[in-house]
Amino acid sequence: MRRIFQSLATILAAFVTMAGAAPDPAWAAGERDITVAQGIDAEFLDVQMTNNIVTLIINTSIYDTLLTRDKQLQLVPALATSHRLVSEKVWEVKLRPGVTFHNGEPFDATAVKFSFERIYRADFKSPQKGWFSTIERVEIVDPHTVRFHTKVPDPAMPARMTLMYQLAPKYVAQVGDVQANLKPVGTGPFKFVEWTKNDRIIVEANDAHWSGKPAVRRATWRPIPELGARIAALQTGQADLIVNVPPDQLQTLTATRSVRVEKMPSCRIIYFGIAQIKGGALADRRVRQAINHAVDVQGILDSVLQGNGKRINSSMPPNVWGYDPSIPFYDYNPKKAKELLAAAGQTNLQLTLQAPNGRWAMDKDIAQAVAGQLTENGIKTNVKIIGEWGSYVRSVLDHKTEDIFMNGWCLPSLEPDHWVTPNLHTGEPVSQYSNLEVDKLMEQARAEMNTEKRKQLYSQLLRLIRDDAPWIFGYQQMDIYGVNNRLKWTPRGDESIRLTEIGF
Amino acid sequence: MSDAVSPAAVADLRPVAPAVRRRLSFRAVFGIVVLLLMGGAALAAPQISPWDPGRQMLVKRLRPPMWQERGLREHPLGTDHLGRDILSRILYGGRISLGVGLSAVTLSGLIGVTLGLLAGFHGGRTDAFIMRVVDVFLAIPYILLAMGVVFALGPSLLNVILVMAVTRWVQFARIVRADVLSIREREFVSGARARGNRSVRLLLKHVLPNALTPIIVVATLELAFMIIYESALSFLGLGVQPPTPTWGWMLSDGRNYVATAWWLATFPGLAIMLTVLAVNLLGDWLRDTLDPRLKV
Amino acid sequence: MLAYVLRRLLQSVLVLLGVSVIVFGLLHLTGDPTRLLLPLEAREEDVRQLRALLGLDDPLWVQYLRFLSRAVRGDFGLSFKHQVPALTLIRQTLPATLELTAAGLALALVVAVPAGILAALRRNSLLDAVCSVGVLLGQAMPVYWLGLLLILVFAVWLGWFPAAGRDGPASLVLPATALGAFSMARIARMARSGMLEVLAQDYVRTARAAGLRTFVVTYKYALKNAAIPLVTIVGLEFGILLGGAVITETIFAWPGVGRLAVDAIFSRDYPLVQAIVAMLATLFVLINLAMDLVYTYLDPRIVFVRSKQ
Repeated sequence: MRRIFQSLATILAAFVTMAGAAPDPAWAAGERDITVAQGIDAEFLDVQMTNNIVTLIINTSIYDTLLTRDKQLQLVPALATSHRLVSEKVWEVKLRPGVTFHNGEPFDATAVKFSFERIYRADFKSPQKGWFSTIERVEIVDPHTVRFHTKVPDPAMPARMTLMYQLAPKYVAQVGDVQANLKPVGTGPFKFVEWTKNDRIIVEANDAHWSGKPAVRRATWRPIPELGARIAALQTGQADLIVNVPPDQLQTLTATRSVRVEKMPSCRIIYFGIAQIKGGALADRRVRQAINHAVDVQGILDSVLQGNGKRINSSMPPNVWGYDPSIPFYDYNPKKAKELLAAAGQTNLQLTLQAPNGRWAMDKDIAQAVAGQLTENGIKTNVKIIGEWGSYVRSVLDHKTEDIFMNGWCLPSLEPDHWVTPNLHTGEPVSQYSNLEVDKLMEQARAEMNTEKRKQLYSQLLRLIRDDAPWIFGYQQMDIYGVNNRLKWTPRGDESIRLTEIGF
Repeated sequence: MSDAVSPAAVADLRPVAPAVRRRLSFRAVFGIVVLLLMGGAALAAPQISPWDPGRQMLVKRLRPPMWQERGLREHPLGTDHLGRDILSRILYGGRISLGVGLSAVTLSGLIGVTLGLLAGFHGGRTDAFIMRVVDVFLAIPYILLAMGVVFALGPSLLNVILVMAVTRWVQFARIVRADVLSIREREFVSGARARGNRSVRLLLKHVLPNALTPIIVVATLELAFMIIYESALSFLGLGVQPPTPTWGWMLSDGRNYVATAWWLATFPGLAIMLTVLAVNLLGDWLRDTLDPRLKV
Repeated sequence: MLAYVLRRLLQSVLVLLGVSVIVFGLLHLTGDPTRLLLPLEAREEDVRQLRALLGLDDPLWVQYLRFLSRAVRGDFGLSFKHQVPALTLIRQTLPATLELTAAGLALALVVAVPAGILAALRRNSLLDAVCSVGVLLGQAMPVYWLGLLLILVFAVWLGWFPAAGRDGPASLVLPATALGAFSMARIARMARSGMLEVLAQDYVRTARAAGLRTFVVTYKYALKNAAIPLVTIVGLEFGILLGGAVITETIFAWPGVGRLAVDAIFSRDYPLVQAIVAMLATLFVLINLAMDLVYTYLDPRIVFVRSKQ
């Protein structure tokens, strides 16, 4: 018996010693090293294999694009120093000289052509194929000049160039796709060091970067899916920057002195699509408008999200070019809703609303709040939570959604057409709506090269959309971050995190 | 593997007709009292619940229990993030959590006991086959199996019960089989067989009553497991879906508020804890009185 | 003895075959993963192409045989989501899970075995009650709640351990505690019953009657024999812990197979789910086989008893 106790004591002592020997709370090794904790791990470090925002954020530290957006989301040069329209369907782009990939390979026009063509290789499963579908081919004029030939006049080209990540042709050809994903090589401000799946990705500063020496020396990207653990990691100093903090957790962070909260209106909008294509009551505009009047969006924002969200008046958030602030919101007017329903002969309407669980901040809670309000105001609404994101996406893409479906939307291009066509044009996978007049306006605006005229067209289009009410117009999300006070950083409006924008 | 509960050990030490020694220990009292309270509250929920558990009162969200500052008298245990009354949700949630647990255990027991009886009684190839099936189910981590099945069928009340039963029946099968094997050896059974009794009647009349002891003990312990299991599935988003309140969902929903609005998670958590504790203590006491050397 | 070993091996192989059938069949009920893998703009022909590429259009039994023949060689294909061989991913993440599970089991044994033994020695006393309830509390709390509370108290408030992630021995403590707590009750119970059984044995009673000190008796005779059922329980607990690891790894951001599995199931990553379940099942079967052989070595009577069946 004594021996058992002795061995137990030894084991316990070992545990206690290990605990005591825990490294000091600033887990990062050096003073200018940081740790960023997001919710999931990068899917790929081959940037062309993904369209997922978290993965793109991590990849943006390793790869550059031709153009990029500054803090104010204005287009600025990156690997492309200038661009101009040579003719209606030809764009000429001048490349930055003297840039090399992390392995020493020089960056030039062949890289641009290679990177573009790789996405469209038949055996390459890239989700980015839809991003550049208007480009017919890339022409190499000289080592530092390329020309993009588009199939149709495409005013969105500069926006597309902010998504053209550049890969090293000789490296990829040499090591193959699998290795290019596991050991990425780019021209970016940070070089890849190591990747342990679901554990961490380490990158270190590329002092030879064309934008200068980064202030951050080493960065560790860590996926911490559980919100409580992520917040705890920030509080203990294990992480310096965390993302996706829901409004209800803010008081935990404000109570911790070493950290602060940063907020930024997102490019992501949350709306409740009404499946008009299902016909019946939903095909009647009056019913859809009634639905909009029956939900107190502002009230829900104020209570559930504690004011962290801004109502949208149509299908675009304020920070996308083309937004028209003069378009009116639907006021919360249950009486008007009842009148409209009566006029449409739908006094006993019963609907089902579907929402995911955990995809967006407080999604299922907001969905339940919306359904609750609709029910209170004469439209009995059932909530169906579809926890599995795959099924959720499928129901949308297969056009088999419930009557109302919650959705979030943000494309990194910030190109106005991407805010109307994919989710409202007839026949588009995400769209559960069909209106030929709206379609026509979309197509017109998409091809209009004159900026002034284009803006007017979008105003018109957005107003039309608002009046036809294919959605319950929800809100622009507020991206909330938790930051350690030793970092000097403010968020961007496009959900991205640029390590080069972090200082001390 | 599954033959590990050696029938020899079980056989030698158990009396033929278990004498339930009426010893009123603390464990039994605690267990029974708590269970009666929980069960009673759950059944009476529609009568005693102050609010409709699904009623959202957004203006009153995240209110603390009534004894705290900012608490409200009409919400004794506070409100959750959608302004729903916690006490009401606990009462109604108990119905689902306990109901699901009981149904799952019953179903699981039916499957397991039947298969265990078959295996133990017929022996030979039936036994070998059933035991291999048991081994297969033991080898696959129950959570992954459950997730896979719920995915295929979609999360719903019925599917959750089904899934939990399908992944846990092996517990019953193993113990029943071991028991049957040992009982088979006994003289009165061989005697009865010699007299030509048909197997099914034999099974039901002689074997089953004696096998009842371990079945009861396993059932109680499994009930406790099922309640926790349900909450684990809810954590993964695969349990019974909202807005139906269950303790598991409430705990899962409330887990992000542990540091800020502690009442969201603590009360359902305590409900689960107390119930599981009570059931376990009861099961332990049952095992102790009926047969303390039962390896369960 | 050899016959017994061979028989057990054959049983194990059959079990693994059964596992493969279930794993294969189960996933074919989960619906169509192709939509998730293709971009939003994918048209019907892309879907059809992918289905052909992955052989999803062949009859089920053909798909099963193909799956089995490759699985036996360790080839579970490329993970749909990660585009990396499924086995590679498992190889990278399994050590972390084994580390966590072993630590959890060790912790559970260290706490629960003495608790169970003490409870048996002082049966129906206050000590018995305290020990029983103590370990039961660990089993009465859902592991994610316990985990988050542990993080709150020991990482945030006290700062003794890191909140999440795998960073060395200190980061193992909290997750192992959360995981192990669930097994403690079962192990304690097993230790207690085993101990009780042995204590009632004639030879122990004789020794005690002869006046040998309780401690000596306990240690020399009782403990050794009570250890036997524990050996079997370790194998089974391992399986239960693997199940609990799935949740624990998610809470503590532990880069193990459990997290990978949850991810894989949620993204309908066929090959990866199959690979993970197959690997874990194989591991379980092997461990239990080993435990059984150890058990047989400790108590050869069992072989005799079993061979009578």
